[in-house]
Amino acid sequence: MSGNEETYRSKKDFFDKLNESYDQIKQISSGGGGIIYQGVHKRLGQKVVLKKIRSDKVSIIGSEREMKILMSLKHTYLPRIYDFWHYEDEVYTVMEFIEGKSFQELLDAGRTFKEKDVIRWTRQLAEVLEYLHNSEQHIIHSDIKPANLMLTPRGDICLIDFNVSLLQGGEANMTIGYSEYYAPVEQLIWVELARQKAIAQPAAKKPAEGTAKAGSAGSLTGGGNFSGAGFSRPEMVRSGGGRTQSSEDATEVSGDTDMGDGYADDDDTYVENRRGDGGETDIGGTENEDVTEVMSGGVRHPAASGDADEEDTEVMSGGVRRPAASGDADEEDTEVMSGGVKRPVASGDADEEDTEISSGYGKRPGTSGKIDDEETEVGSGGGRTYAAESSGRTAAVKNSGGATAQSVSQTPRRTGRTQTTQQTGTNIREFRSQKAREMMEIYGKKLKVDERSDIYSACATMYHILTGKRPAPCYMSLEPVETVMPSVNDAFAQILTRGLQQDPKKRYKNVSQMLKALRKLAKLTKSYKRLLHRQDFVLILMLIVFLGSAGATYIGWGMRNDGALGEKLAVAQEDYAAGEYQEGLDYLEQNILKNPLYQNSAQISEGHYLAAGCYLELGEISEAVEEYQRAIFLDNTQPAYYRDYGIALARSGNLQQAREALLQAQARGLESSSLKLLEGEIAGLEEDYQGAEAAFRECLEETGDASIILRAALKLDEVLAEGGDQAYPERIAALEEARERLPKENLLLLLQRMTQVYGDYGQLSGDASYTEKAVDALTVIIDDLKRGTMVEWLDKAVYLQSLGRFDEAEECLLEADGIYSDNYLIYKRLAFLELEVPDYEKFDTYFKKCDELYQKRPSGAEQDMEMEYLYQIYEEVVINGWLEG
Amino acid sequence: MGDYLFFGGLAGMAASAVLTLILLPLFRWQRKRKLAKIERGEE
Repeated sequence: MSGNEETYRSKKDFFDKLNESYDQIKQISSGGGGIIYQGVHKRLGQKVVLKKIRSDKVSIIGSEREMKILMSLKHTYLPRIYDFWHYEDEVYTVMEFIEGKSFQELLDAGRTFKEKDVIRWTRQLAEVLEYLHNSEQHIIHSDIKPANLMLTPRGDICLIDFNVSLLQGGEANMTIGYSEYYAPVEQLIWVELARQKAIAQPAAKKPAEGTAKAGSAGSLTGGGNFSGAGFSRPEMVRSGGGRTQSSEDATEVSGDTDMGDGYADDDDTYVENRRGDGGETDIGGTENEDVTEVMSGGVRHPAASGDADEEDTEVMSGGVRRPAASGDADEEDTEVMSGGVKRPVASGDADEEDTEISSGYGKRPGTSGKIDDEETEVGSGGGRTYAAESSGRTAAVKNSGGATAQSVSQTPRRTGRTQTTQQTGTNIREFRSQKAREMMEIYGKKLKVDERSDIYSACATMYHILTGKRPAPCYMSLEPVETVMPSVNDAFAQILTRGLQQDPKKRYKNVSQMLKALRKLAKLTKSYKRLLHRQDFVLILMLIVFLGSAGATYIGWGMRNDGALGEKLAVAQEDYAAGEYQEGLDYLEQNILKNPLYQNSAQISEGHYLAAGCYLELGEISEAVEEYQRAIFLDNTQPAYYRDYGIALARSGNLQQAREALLQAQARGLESSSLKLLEGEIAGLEEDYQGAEAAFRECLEETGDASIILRAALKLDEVLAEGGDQAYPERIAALEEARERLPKENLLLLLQRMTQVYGDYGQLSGDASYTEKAVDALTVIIDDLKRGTMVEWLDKAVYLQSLGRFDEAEECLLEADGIYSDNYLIYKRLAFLELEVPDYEKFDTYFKKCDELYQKRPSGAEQDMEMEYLYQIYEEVVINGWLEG
Repeated sequence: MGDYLFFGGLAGMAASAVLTLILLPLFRWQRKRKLAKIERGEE
């Protein structure tokens, strides 16, 4: 059951219901803002803190809307506000109980912190500030300091005490805190302007106790001044403004810490309520009655010695610091923004740590476990609502306002110090005012209290936590972090330095910017850099492997292509050497010349050259010329290309161009023998047979190149053949000479020519020895070179038959049949052979076989005249009855 | 030799590409984890 939704018949009813919801209630502190209790939610079993707002401060409770806004805040590093309970002037806020201690306590105890932890906390603080600043309500904390920053057992921070949170935008009421060492210059100016304003306006009377005031608890809905539900600091507000001062009720003083009579000073105590316009702290602006300025009574009183080193926070709302009775200013006085006041012990011994409840310091004896409306409040300034079991400081407060209080042996607040306090208070006040005025000279009066103010306070707090040394106030020069702590991370020091710039314009524009810088800090750590380097190394390695593999692939691909090309060219070369020019051409076109893989490759120039040679031998001169031109285009460094190009041009009748090609070949260093070859070609075409013969003979004499020898020998034979039948012996001699010089792989064409010449001459001269030589040559072709075609087989059989070696001839033909089976030509030859033997039976057999195979030829095949002759012979044989059966 | 280089190169390219594709998100995750650890004060 939420307290907000209830209506109560009476106050007793209200407290009954409150106590029904919470159990084990015990008071843990009390201060200017009210009393703080710890309890357990009965149903949920969860520890909570209940903060009672002081009755005279009830008016500070603002609108229900504002309460709901604060209740909606949810962040890891913020305490949750669970609920509100209010009835008339009784207001309780229910918050999350935060374990741990404040950094102020830890620093006071002499704790030091590691830099990496401080960096982490700074990041966490920035995250929570970013959350607040970016929330719909644009909340500014405005009172960040070590006392308001908890260190939880988990090792994380928790930002507490929104006492002076500035709700920006809309109809927010503004309350701004001022902590001497942690507040930025804009807050200092704000304080001064508020003070000046307050002095100029008389304070309003305090409304009667218990009655619903404008903006008081009874009117939670709509209007009213509220500076943070449940976090209200009594000093903060008093609606109706004005200064309240009553000699009996010093707690009236805004600062609740009983500024006491001694501070019945116009300058010190004033409350002014004014409705803000959403963040503007320009008091010179709208003047309205509803602004609450924490300043109320915010006064700092330095130690008697005037030592300003002690940490004082005043909440502007009357946070007052009082020096020790002895005037010893060494004591650490901490006041919570909520007017935490430290009181010295009665004995004047200032060594004891006294803390007041007001800010949660110290402890008050437990109550009955319940809350009722007769709780004593001590002191003013209940500000800190977290169970800082503070360090066992004694609670000692006497509410000089007359409320029942446990009096301790401490010196009553207002005793005997008035004067001193007044004097020291005045000094510090004047000093600060003077500084504030100086700042106003520099920056003007219109400085905003905004996100940058929180950045300053956060950085100042972290400066303190990191170095152990409190930063100088904003109007004094600050010792750089690096100087105080030379070992600090440079980047972090830069972040703090920028955040602590006096001029807000030089600070980070917003917390997000600072958070970004902090996050980058993590990236500057050694371990992160090491990780990055390792990862980069691996990725670079991967890249190297990839590029290396790509290179290997490219080279391998090239090598594969080259190898394949080389093999293919070799096959074409063999065909050419074997005189199989058409087969060679077909192979070249199919596998090399029209293969896209080899297009534009200089290597296929050889393919074009081979193709040109094939065309040349086949008598297709124009095609040969084109191929030679392509070969030269792809590779113009080869003299042989020019030579043969010249030969092709000569054969095509372009003798002039042939001579030019000869010159080109000469210019490219073509050797003399090759030049002679071309000269011989040209001479032959010009029918200068003697000249051609001489050129070819010279070529044969000079060259050692087998292909040149072969070509020259063949060309010489052609030229000599022009000499008629009497040239046969010369021809045979030249061919036999060339045969001696040629290796086996180049012999085929020569032997084929020799076979022809031997056979012709043998027939012509009747000299069987030449026919024998023809048979030998054919035997070499068939058996040694293994290059015998059917033509060679048949020719050999014919020559054997002409030599009368019929059996050998028959054997040869039958062997050929084993290779070229079912070829009618073989059986035709056999038939003619048996006819000559004569063996008519075999003749009959072979004839029939021949006829059978001949008939099976595809239609359209050319007619064989010899078969007609054979048919006639067969008829004759049959007619003559030479065939038996 | 050409075959070894060609196919070996192809395999190398494929392997390095696949590894890189696997490593990139893995490295990103590693960096995030490291940053989170650093921010938490574990390192």
